[in-house]
Amino acid sequence: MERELEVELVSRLRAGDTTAFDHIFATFNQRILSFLTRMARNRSVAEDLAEETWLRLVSGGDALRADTRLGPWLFTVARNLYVSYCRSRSREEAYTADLILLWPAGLPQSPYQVAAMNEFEEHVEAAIASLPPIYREALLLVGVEQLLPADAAKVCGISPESFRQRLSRARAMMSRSLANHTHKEWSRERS
Amino acid sequence: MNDHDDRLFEILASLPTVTPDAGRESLVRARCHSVMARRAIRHVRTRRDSRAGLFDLAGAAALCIYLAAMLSEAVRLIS
Repeated sequence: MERELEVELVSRLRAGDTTAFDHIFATFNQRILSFLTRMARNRSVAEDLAEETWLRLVSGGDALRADTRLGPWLFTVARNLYVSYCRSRSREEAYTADLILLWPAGLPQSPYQVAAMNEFEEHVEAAIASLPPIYREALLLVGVEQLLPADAAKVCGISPESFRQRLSRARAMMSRSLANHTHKEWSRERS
Repeated sequence: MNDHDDRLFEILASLPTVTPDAGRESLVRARCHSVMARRAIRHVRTRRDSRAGLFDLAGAAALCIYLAAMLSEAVRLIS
């Protein structure tokens, strides 16, 4: 999102303009939901957390600073809500079955869809899911959501240097995990 | 960052995003709109209340000045 438009949207949102909210919602909802789904590994939990993220935005809209950058702000709230959720529920187990919920419409409906589902992507998703949460969020924020590392560091509440180290470790773990799980596909993709 | 990392980030960037459920999306949007509407009403009320409070204060100040003037006039007449 362009900076000028972002500033304008924040200003309109602070004034209570619902069309500004709709624009922000349309731009970020899918990204926030994807991030939370991959973090929580459970679609219904991710949907609840995403809803809470949006409610936080509108209920505290007038407290937003004029120069607020919406992407980092929303991901910070979403991430903090996820952390709170984990603390209250102690839900950090690896449920492989939940991975299927990452797919937009659940299980594929037809043989064509089955064939179209990229096996390699499935392995990537499984490798992401197998990372410890602090490394998973680093990789998701920069690799999938395309946030700048400096912004992602703010989202995680750590210094840029610590974030760089965390991201580097995440990359190494991800590569190892992919190599272990999908050596053949990985080699084929790289060549 | 080496080629391997570049490739990894390319793969990550091309992962599919989760498609939100349309029904759930419109529900969330509607809830947010209603929160915004309530907030707007609250703001109007707060503004109106503070304006009313200002009028009350101005009235009380005028009354005090009037009474003080009356008192000083009464004292002047008695003496």
